[in-house]
Amino acid sequence: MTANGGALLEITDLGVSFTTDEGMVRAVDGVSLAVHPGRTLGIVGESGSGKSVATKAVIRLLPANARIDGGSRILLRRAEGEIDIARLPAGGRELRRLRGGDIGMIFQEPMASFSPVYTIGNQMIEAILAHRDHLDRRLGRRFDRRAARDHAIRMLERVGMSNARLRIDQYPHELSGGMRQRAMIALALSTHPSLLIADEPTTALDVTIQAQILDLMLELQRELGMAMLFITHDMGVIARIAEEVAVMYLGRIVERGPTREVIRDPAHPYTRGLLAALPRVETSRRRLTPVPGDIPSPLQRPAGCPFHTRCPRRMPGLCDREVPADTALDARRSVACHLFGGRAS
Amino acid sequence: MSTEPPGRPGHGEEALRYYTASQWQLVWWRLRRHRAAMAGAFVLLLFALMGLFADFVAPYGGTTRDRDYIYGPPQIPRFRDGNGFSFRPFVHALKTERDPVTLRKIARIDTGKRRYIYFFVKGEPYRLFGLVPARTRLFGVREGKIHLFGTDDLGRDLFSRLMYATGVSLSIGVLGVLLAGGLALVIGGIAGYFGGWIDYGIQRFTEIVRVVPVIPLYMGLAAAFPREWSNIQVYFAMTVILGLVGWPTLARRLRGHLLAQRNEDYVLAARLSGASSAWIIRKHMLPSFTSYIIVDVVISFPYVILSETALSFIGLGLRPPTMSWGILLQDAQNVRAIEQAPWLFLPALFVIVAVLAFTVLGDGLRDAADPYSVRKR
Amino acid sequence: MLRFLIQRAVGMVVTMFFVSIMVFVIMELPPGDYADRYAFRKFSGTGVSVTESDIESIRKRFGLDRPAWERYLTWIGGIVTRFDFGPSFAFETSANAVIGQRAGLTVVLLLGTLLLTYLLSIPIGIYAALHRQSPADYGLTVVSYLGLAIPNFMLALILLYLGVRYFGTTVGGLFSPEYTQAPWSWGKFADLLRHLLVPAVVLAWSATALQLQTVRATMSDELAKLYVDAARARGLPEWKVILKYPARLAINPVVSTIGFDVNRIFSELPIVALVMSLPELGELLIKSFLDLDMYVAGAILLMLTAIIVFMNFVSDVVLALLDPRIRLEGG
Repeated sequence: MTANGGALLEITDLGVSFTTDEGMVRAVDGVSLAVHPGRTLGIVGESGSGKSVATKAVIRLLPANARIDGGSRILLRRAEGEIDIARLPAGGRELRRLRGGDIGMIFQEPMASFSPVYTIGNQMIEAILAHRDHLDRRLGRRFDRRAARDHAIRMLERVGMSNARLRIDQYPHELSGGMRQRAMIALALSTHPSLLIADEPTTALDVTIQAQILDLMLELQRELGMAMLFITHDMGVIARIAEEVAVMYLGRIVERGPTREVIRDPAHPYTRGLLAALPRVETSRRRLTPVPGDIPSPLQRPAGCPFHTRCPRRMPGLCDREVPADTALDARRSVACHLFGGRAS
Repeated sequence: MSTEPPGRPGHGEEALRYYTASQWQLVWWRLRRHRAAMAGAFVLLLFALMGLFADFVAPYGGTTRDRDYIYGPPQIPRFRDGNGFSFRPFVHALKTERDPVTLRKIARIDTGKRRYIYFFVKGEPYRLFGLVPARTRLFGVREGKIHLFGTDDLGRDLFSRLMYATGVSLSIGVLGVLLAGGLALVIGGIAGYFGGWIDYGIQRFTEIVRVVPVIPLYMGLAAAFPREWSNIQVYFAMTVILGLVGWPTLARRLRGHLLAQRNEDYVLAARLSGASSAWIIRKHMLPSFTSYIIVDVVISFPYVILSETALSFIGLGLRPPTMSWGILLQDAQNVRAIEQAPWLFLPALFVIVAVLAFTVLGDGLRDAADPYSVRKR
Repeated sequence: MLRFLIQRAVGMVVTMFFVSIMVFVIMELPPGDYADRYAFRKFSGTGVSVTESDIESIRKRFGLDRPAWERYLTWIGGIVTRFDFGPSFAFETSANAVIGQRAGLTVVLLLGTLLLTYLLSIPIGIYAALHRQSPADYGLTVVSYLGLAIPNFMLALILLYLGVRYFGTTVGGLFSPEYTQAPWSWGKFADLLRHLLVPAVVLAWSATALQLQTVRATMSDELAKLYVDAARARGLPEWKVILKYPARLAINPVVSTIGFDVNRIFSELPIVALVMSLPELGELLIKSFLDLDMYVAGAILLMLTAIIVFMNFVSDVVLALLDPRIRLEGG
């Protein structure tokens, strides 16, 4: 791995396995990545690629049957110092301070991420009050219940909700999908996190609203100076929001680099497939070409390169035997593919 | 548990078998893997056989009295005693003595004399299924009597009585559930398919029936049986009542399934191609939830059986000399009886085992019946 | 909310109207009428011979010669206007006098049973859902299967037996001998509660088994929902996440089936009461059915149903208070 002295979040060799009735499932396998302050890293991949699991591991939000490998490191650099999230005791105070404090998270389903039986305000104020100390450090002021409410209203206004004073006492089902996602963003940002994890935040919304939400997130990022880890299966969304991208397939990162370069000149056959699946103005008359085949079950991980079962350019005898190593293409780009000479180092 | 239905194979020959199997084959395959359900099914099969061939399985008639062995405790078959070991199981003989103080006859076990147990012995004559005259009983002793489960206050053999009672209680259960199921199918089906005000009216009506406490309602209806009715009449009246009171619950569930199905695309497709309502119900909707109906029916068995037991127990259901689990339990109605003759509680064990068996079988069927089900345990 | 309340209240009255018709039909079902039974009971064994005209005059006196709908109106009219449930011939007094304080005891027993059911089933169900597939969870599943399979009256008998065998006390009845005739006092009240505990346990047995499964299933569903993870991601302590979010929704099905539980308890009450010799409505109901004392039976049936209907109403209201989605739809 290259030196990442200035990285806010640095994940090294992250592995996550699940114990299931059918056996061990290796969902994330040796993932390393870094997020820099104020910048956005996009993770792209189909469902089942392990992108969600990898990011959930960052705030240790994995189900009980999941295990993070002993060698994994998830370093977060804060003003108070560096901590390894992978080694924090589960359910401890440290971890709770991180969740929603230093690291905010928004989810795919804006409907389902609010509890239906409490008002938006109730759930926002709860989050603000839970991170009083954190906000004290960030903003230099201490919130009581009333101040928290005012802060919540300001945040709702900030994300473009009209009538925030009224909306704050409404229940989630009284809001539209777009409004709910705005409220979710307001909630996550109300504690001024230094890192925001966004797990497909726009997938469940229709295209116009999707664009609005993306613009809003970019705007807020600039304003609050936070870093983002943005997960999606949509290359189009990545192109809009992320400076850097990591492409994941079956629990491994197969290609990474600055977004523009990766899109202009994809190296890995899988990345090429993903880009070909994207609708474009000039190709709209032709059929979209999706990546052929299904993602294999993580129970039956193919030997060798995980992508060789679907790869149009596989080399028999090599790709189905040996796992390709990360190969640097230039200072900022790397790919894990035998086509680029990636022999196990 | 996994999100994949159990037994879905990856590829190859097995996959071909899996994907081409009929719905019932799939259900059966999945049920077979459910050990508790299979155990339940086995127990119920055993009970059904016992009830069906009660005359053959029971060593004596249900009302035959053994005056020498009143309130006699169970005789447990044994292979050895003070006189050594025997491959043929036996019980000890009884001798009657008079209590020196009260002068009452008391049965004492004579450990010196063995009564060997034989299979297919000749016993009291009976008619199998009320038709075929026969004398052979499943087991018995050649001299004296054998009371595996002991005897009651009149010296009647509890084991034999339990066999007959099992037949009666289960048959009431079956008839009651079938009646309830039939009513539910017709009425619930009408409500669910037509919707609108028909549905509304039937809904309100079932709500009102459901709000009245069930057993008191049964009691009210059972109280209406004329005292001079024969046992057969009471028997059928009981099944009718159990069916009548049982259908709203079933109908409600059925309606739920139907309402969900009615909006499915395939129903719309059939309707657009000009199929009639009755045809759509019969040809398309019924097969799609036959499995649900079966599950619902199996699940409602315990309620019917428990209701019959409770009603007969308090004297508002079947009447002696008919034998049913509830009637046998009448003898165990107070603490004194249990202290003196705890074996009179054995019918309760049958009730509990039967209800448990139906419950686990119902649960297993429910899991097996839905090809997309995810076990949420 | 007000509209919701009025709507449900009207529904309650309509249901009770239909129930009263059903109860009246049940009262009329047994062969022979009140006059026959009255005459039989009054004069049998006294040597007085009863003629057809005597019965006819009794029939006139009680207004039994009038058509059914008129009799229904008289009966229901008496209940609604004067709270008069008609005569009880078995006890030669009014149904009101026979039912009297037994109704109060029934309600106390019911509330005690419900309280016990919910105090047991909700925490245990939540615990089981949080520890799925643990030995404790499997144990609880087995216990709840047994809870559904062992009829309550059997459990009552077993407890009675254990009581006699190991504690040398009778668990039956509602008062210890020294309090039976005593005026009401704290001591008597405490004695009553002690005696109510065992019947309440017996009656709560199967209801608890059922609700435990419901709570466990709902809680498992709710735990898997995204808003739970979202609450965790907000940095709340785990106990607060569980109690404030999924647990709050896991009790909804329990609340919505209060009426069903009451129905179940009332179904089992008569038989348990008979076995445990509890002097309340259930036992009286069996007696009155066996004696064909139909006014008393009808009164009890009507009262029990009225309590169920009322508890349904309570459950609707509580559910609306608990869940804004129901409240805001206006019901």
